[in-house]
Amino acid sequence: MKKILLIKMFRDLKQNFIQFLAIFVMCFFAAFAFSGIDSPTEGLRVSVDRYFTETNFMDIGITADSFTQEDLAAVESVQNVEAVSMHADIVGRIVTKSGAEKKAGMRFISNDEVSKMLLMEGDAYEPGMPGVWIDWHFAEAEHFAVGDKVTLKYEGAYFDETIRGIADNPDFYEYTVDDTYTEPRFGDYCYCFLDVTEYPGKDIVYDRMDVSLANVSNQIYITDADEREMEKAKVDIMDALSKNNLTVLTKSDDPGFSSVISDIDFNEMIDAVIPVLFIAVAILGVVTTMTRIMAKHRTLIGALKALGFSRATIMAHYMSYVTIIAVLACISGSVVGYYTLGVSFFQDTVTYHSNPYATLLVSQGQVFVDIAIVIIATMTAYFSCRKLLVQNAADILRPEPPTQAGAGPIEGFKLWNRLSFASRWNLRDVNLNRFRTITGVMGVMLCSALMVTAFAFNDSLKVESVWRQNHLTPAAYHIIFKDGTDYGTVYDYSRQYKGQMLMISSVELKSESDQKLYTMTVADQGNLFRLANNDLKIIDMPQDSASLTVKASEFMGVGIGDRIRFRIPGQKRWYTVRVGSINKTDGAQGIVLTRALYEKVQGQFQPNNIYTNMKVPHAMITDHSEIAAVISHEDYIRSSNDTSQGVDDMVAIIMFIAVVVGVVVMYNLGVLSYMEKIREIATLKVLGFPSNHIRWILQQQSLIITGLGTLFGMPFGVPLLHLIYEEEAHDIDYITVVGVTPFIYAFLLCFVLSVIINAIILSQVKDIDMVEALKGVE
Amino acid sequence: MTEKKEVLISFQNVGKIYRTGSIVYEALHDVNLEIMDGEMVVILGPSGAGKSTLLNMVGGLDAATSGRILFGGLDITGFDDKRLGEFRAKDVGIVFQFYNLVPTLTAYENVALMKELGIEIMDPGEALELVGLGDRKDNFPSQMSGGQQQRVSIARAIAKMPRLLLCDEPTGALDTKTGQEVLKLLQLQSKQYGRTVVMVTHNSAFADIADKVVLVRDGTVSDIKYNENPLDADKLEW
Ligand SMILES: Nc1ncnc2c1ncn2[C@@H]1O[C@H](COP(=O)(O)OP(=O)(O)OP(=O)(O)O)[C@@H](O)[C@H]1O
Ligand SMILES: [Mg+2]
Repeated sequence: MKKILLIKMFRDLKQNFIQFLAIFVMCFFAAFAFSGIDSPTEGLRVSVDRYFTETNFMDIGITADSFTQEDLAAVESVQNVEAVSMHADIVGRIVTKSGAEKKAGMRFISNDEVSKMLLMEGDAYEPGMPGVWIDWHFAEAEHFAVGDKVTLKYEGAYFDETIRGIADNPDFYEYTVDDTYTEPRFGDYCYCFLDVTEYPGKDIVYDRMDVSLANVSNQIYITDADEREMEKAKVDIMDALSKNNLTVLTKSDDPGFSSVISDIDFNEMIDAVIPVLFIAVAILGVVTTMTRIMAKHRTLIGALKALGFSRATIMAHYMSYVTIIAVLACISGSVVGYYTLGVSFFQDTVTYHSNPYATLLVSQGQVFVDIAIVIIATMTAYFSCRKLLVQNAADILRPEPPTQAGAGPIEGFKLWNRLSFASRWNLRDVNLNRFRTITGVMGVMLCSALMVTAFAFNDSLKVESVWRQNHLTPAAYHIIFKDGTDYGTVYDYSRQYKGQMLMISSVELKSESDQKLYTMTVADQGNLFRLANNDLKIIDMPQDSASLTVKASEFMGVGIGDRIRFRIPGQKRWYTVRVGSINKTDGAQGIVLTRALYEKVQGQFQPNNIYTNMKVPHAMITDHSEIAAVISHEDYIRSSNDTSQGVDDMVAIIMFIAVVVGVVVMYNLGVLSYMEKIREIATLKVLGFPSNHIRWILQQQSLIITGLGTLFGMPFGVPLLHLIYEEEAHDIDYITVVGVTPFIYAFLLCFVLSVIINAIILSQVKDIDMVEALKGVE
Repeated sequence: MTEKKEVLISFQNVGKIYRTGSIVYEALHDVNLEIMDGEMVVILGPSGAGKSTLLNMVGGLDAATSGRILFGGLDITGFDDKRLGEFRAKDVGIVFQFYNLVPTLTAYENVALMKELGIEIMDPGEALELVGLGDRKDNFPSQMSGGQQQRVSIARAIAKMPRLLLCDEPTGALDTKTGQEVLKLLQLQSKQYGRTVVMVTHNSAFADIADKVVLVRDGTVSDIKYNENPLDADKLEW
């Protein structure tokens, strides 16, 4: 008996193939999207936590021009400080096996207690040990192994070392060797660790301390208590030290660390939204399909009941259709999501972050979501079948009560009688099959919203990659000076290259509600550094007030006309200025003011950047020790094109999902509606209606649904874009441009899809078997 | 009377073979038949004999596998989908056993439907009056009884004043009294308006109202009978 039901199930699945395929696809994408985003996120969470915990990643990082042993002692005596590692960081060169010289960041250490090395090969470091520990990316790229001899170079001095180990270090999670790299490119340069006794110069200049606090042991899962502890220690340390260019950052302020956290937060958010969208459409699909099967099987179910099959057996039988589909969809969706989207996201993270433990992981959340999808789909099937099955056999066998055929209250309007026959017919049909219509509209909504998102995302990326360089800093060359270069030197260069001088430094902003670390830009006169408003229109630099970037304004709770206080980290003095404008940039967030205003409030203008339109040879870096980097306009454009490649994939994925959702939903409902109307279509044909005329009537209905769907769906594209393309971080801002073109494209594409899909379905009208279609109801 | 009439429909060695997968079924073979203009014809035969198949081929709903079917001298077996559509729209009214009304259109709209094709039809209200449904114009099919629906379907068929009316078991789903009314309407079409009416039935009692009775058995015409004085549908009893 059970076997017969099984055979029946396969036949039913085959007969309603398209409808079940639609349910499958929706469940598949829900699981796919979740798994594709969750697996790299879970991997990130677990592996970074392990990496940072094993290496005792610093709770507080302190940098300054130089530290003495007294400073070290002062920090060590701050309350709750557990351990401090003080190092000297310099950038020199390393000679590869082929004789080439590569840049090398060298860290000289005297202990390895905070932000420790993660030893991957070789001997563990002990204070006083000779030799060098090099990073694993570089070792791999240049085929270095433990025991090899290498030559290091710093300011003309060569020194030979033996490689003692291959390691990594959490301080270097997002490391770039100097400003010529706008993003990490591990393996292209080296970072390595040596004992302080190996320092090549006479006097070692310590410039960094990593601090571990006694009461903070969490890494990724920082608690509010940890946060308070770190903030308190930060203030204590600042009070204990009085230094030039002092910065004290808690772990949460650290760029590498906060990028991990914001990646995780961001992914979790998308993970919560996207699957829900698909599940919503899947539910509608289950309801329409199961209701339709129930209606078709009405007599059959009655007969089964009359034959003595229990209600539970029949119910379980019909629910199992959906359960089986959902289980298959979730398993395959999770697996495919893991290996495609997951792997692709994972590749991006490992390219830009150094994490030896990096991996993809299946989380409990994944299992939970898959089970939830199956349960939701099954329960939906249950409720769709219940209504019919709870009746007794005799009631079920009685034919369905007649349905009201009108279009509802709108028929009362005068206009109604003026409508064409086709419109009246379609409106009544839409009203009669409300659920099918709603499913269609929702599906098209999802599709059109995703399309708008994809197109607008693409536009934003195109703008983003060039906008800042072309409009805010429209200079051919950008010269960056090393820390501590004096005013006179920079001024001389600015005269020589007819450039605009800027002072760019970190700054602490303080408002009534908050205090945070940002970037301050003080601009000398010139037109190579400009500001834009929220609409991306260039605005004048305010003269007697400062300008805040959008994110700084939001997070500090300060608007135009308000006052804001700021100070250079490490200095005691606070400055107060009025905010005269808010500017939008995807670059550093913070405060911008003119040199005149800065000097008026007694600030000392120390320029460290020049923008110029005159040609600056790249070779300047090697010839002039005060220059840290020379970056041309082209360099910037090239590197931002490189980064946007990864995001281009994202655009393609969104577009792909949009089209698949559109095709599946439209095809599914098109076929459903065709099959339900097949008798009417045959009737019209018998009456002599030409096939094209019938097709056009039916096309109108799908055009109405597509029209409603795009109308309601497209507006959601913008918030969806912001959701995907916005950072909750206080110091990162993106530019999203949403013009009319994404809407036009999405609108047209939806209609083209709709017309093509329906044309395919309706091509059957010509060859419809009238006799067969009009045979009595079975 | 009959001898003055012209041949409207002529079957010449018509055969029909159904193929479903490897199963081949010969539904009709060697059908030769002439139907005169204005004639009332009843096609009679047991279930499965091929009556519906025969009728459907006249309306171009189904294509013959062999032979020719002429309508007013034109070979409709050679028509394509479009020509057949035009043919049905202009010249043929079809009435089925299960009415086949469009459920989302009112009685009036179901009749008025033919206007969509730009065909000249009588006023739909008038057509409904003729079948005695003048007061049910705005009802949807689901709000009417089977007999009423069948009458709407007849109104729809006669509204365009076709030369030919094809009916497949028009009384099949109706009780005797309503069935009789439907038969009366059909007979009237032939008697009063000179339309050709072809009706399929398995009820031999209906043979009495026809001018010509075609007996179909095992896929071919087995006999043809003529009634000199067909009975009024009113007087029919079964
Ligand atoms: N689409 C089809 N495929 C295969 N065989 C068919 C098809 N349509 C009809 N037949 C067969 O052709 C034969 C004639 O069918 P038809 O419908 O013309 O019979 P009928 O005389 O109208 O019977 P009834 O009085 O029961 O309506 C039947 O035996 C039927 O099984
Ligand atoms: Mg029949």
